[in-house]
Amino acid sequence: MSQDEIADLLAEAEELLENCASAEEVEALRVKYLGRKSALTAILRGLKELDADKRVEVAREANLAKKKIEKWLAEAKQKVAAAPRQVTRIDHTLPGKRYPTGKLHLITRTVDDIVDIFYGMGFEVALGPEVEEEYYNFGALNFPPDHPARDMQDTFYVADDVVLRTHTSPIQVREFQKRKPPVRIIAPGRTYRQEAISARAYCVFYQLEGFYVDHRVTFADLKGVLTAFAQQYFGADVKLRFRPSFFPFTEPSAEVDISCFLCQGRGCRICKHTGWLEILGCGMIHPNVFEAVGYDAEEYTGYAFGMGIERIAMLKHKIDDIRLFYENDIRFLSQF
Amino acid sequence: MQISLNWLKELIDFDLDVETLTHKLTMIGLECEATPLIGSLEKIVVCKVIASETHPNAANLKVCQVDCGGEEAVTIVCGAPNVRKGMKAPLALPGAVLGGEYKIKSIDKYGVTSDGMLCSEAELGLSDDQTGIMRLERSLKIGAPIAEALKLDDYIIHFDLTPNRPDCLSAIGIARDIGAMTGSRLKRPSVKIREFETPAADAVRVDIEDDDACPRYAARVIRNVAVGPSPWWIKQRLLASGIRSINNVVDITNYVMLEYGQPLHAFDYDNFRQPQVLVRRARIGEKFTTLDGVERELNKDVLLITDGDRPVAIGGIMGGEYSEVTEKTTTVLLESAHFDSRVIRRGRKHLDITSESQDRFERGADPNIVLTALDRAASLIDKYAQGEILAGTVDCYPNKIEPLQLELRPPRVNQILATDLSTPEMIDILDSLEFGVTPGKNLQVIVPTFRPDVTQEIDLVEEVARIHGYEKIPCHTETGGGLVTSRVESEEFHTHLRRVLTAQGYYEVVTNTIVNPKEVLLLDEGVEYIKIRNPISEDLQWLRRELFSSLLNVVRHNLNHQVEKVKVFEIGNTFIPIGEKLPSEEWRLCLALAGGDTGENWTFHPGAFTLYDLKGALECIAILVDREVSLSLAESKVFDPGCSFEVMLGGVGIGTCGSVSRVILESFGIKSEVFLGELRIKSLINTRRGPAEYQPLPRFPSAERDLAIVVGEKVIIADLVATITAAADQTLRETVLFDLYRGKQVGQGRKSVAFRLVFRDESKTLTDEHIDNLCNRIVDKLRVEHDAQLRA
Ligand SMILES: [Zn+2]
Repeated sequence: MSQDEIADLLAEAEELLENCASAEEVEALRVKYLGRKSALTAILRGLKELDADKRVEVAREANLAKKKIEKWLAEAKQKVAAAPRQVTRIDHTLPGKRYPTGKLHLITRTVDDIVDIFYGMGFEVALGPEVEEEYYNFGALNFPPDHPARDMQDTFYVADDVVLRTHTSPIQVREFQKRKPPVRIIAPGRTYRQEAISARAYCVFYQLEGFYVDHRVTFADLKGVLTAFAQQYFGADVKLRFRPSFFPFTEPSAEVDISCFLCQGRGCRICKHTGWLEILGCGMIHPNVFEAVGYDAEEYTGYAFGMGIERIAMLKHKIDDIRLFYENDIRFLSQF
Repeated sequence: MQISLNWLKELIDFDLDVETLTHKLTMIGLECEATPLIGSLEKIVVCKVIASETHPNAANLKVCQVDCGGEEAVTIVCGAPNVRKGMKAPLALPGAVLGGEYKIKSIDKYGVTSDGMLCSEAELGLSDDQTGIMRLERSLKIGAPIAEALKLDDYIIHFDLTPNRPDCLSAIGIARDIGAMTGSRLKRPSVKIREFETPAADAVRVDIEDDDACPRYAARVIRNVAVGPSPWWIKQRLLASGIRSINNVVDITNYVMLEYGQPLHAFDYDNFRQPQVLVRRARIGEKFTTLDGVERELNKDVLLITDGDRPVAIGGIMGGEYSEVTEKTTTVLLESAHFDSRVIRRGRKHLDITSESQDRFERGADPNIVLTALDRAASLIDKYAQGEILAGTVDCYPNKIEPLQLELRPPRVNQILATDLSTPEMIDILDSLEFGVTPGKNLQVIVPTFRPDVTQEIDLVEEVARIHGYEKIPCHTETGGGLVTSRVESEEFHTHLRRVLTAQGYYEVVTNTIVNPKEVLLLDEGVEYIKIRNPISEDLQWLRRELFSSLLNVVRHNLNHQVEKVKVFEIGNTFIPIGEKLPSEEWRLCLALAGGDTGENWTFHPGAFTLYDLKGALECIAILVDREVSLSLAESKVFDPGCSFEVMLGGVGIGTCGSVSRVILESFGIKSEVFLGELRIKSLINTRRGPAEYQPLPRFPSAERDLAIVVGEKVIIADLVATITAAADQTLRETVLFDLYRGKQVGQGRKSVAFRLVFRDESKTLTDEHIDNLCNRIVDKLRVEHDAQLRA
């Protein structure tokens, strides 16, 4: 190949590379000019057949040409990479392509969120039957027969001594019978109350029970676990207030209020202008419960707490009618 | 329970504003809030009528001159029949607002300007008496603001008491707790009795047939009482507690009940047929008319107070109609008794009556306050109804109820509460609550009988804790306990199911487990259900055995509320009686589809749901257990005969699915087609394959061939696949159905089916020749077995 031919080749390569519009074109030209079958490669390969004086000159020319083409290739590559793609215009405001997803029920979400927090604190999950023996629902939990405390819970009966559990507390008794302390359990579940259905009450509702029995468990531990829970669930600056209360299966018992997260404690309609929201009941497990399950109340102490799931979800999401949870209107379900 | 703030102030010294007081009471376990006794009484004053003449232009009105403390008399036009010269009455001056809305102004009445209004008790909100203007006591100062003069400057404290505190159903009980938190001592009213010589024992004898039910019955007899209206201060306190004023005698019994928590009853003793009280159980079928005028049928649970002949009251619950104290009464038998709380509870349940008295006895009254309360009431009747109290009390109390004695170990208190209270601090607290304490290493504590809730050491711990203050107990955020935390496998699996299904576009629902018998019977007859004995309504009586009826209700609700795409699932409990005490509780998954995709995404085409949508979801679920789904035709009452299947996973039936039969849809009032599927979750989990074993990745390339054939409509895909598999050798790795077409081109009654066949050998690259041979064999076999034609 003559020097003129090399010059022609260079001119052609320069023009073609300058007009490249795609990476594919650039690659094709690289193969054409620098590939194994290209003219330049042929020249460089044929050098040894040339006269010694000519060999040096051609080699110099060819290498120069190769460098130039490499440079143009690099430039062309950069240019096409930077150029906008010449495809149909994208309307980035169109929704993405996906199959519409469903959602979890708000009760499930609330239970999951709460269980996760306690799970992280070392609580295990346990469950129990919804149709329950009166003994587990009342007797073993220190509700004497014919005691007014039984009226606090309006009970559905399915047989003389079989009820629909009115709280998740029977799970305490069932787990205590199965295990030896330390026992640290969180027990969510469905409970029942024989009560007319209204915006504030439904015959079915969810509760979540937690309890811990070990050597030297104190009321201070109870305050600690609930404070840690409330601050994780409702926010780090939420305050707690423990008020003496009464439950047959705990003594001392307490009702726990949190500072209203809707008005930051200033008082609003939801907290009835008190700045506090009642969220759960708790206490130290009554020695009579330990006696019923054969734990030594002198050796072990423990705490228990229980909260209503719908109530917490209603507060958190400002829902004013509990029936919405069980009506399952998709326009409601899709909001959470 | 509600009580006047001023009353509490009379019983105990405290220097707290009403808001602080209610907060502090709430924080020691007596939850309460305060409201003003009555609304604004501004510009209402005490006046004296100094002249009253008939209105010149209206004969039924009077023109009065009243003195309200100013320099000149004020002219008032008044229509009340009881206006008299010389009486004192409340006067609302221009600017006053009655009942929060009625504004008083100077007004012309038939030519006379009236500069205010004389008010009735009803107009002031003090009672419902509107028969005439309120007559004020003569001692009241003319011109004084009415709120001040009548001590209406008061708050009602409303308590929401826990059932364990019957002692706080009284002013003294609440004052005692206030004393425990402030350190001051109760000022109990002093009771002085002035008795006549005649012994009460001559006038009445008391017998108790059942002294478990009625451990104590005490009575006094008071003669020559003057029954009439109560003094204002008694009325005012009853008003604050929401109790209607009846007459002085009845009001005094209620007043003392509010004061001591001991219910009392006053009988018109002249209506007794015999001079005696006999307490006995009612006989089955016995009837009695209570003072609310209702005739009630009794049973053995009811305790009666009788005169030995006829019943005069239901013990501890309600008095009788004809022995009531009225204006005509002259001799009163005053009862102060103690009834067992369980008896009162059973009686109340049988009769379905509640009363102030029943509430106190049922929660537990103090048997040892009986005489004090009786004497207090008698002395008030003496003072305000001029009675003559006969000498002595007839007190039948065969077995004295002694206070309980408990031992409290001070270290135990600190161990449970994580506090470091000293023993003297604990003694102080118990002493302030009127527990008797003998110091020592362990404290010997005498529990007063007004605290029936305190029966064990732990109850004393709570008393110390609540008065010390829960807020002062430390808060520990470090904890011990074990490291092993297991989760419940079924719960974990439920979580996986929920994730898969919501990702597939299903909404989770949560429905009532209590179902309507009429609805479930449509789905499943002749099986046992768990039935509620005391249902809240006819529609909610049984516990469900399946979720179908629950989900059909959800579908109906949504379709009726303009939701066009109903795609829901529930993971719910079912209850199967198994002849044991408790039923078997079985968790199930139910899916429901109705309507169709509504084109929520612009890349999809809207279309009605079909069984294949449901099957797709089942296939996604099967991935969780590493199995494949197949459906096999099965009969069911729920589904359409042509579209009713058993769901098989790894050859095991785990549930049913199909298109709901028209009969059932009609009964549920659903017009659109509904697909339902229900799986037994335990069965589903049981089909789960063990951990998948690694298969080496292919080392040689695979080859694909598309095969389009036309077959008769009745040929099913599974049979075609079986033929293909049988005709090929083990190099056929996958048979994927990728197109199904019906239309003119393939002709009536036939369908075009296209498969993609994937061939691969693990030891070499397959030749075209080998694959072509296999394909020819496949086509031949399809032709022979299924009359399949190759599509061009
Ligand atoms: Zn608030």
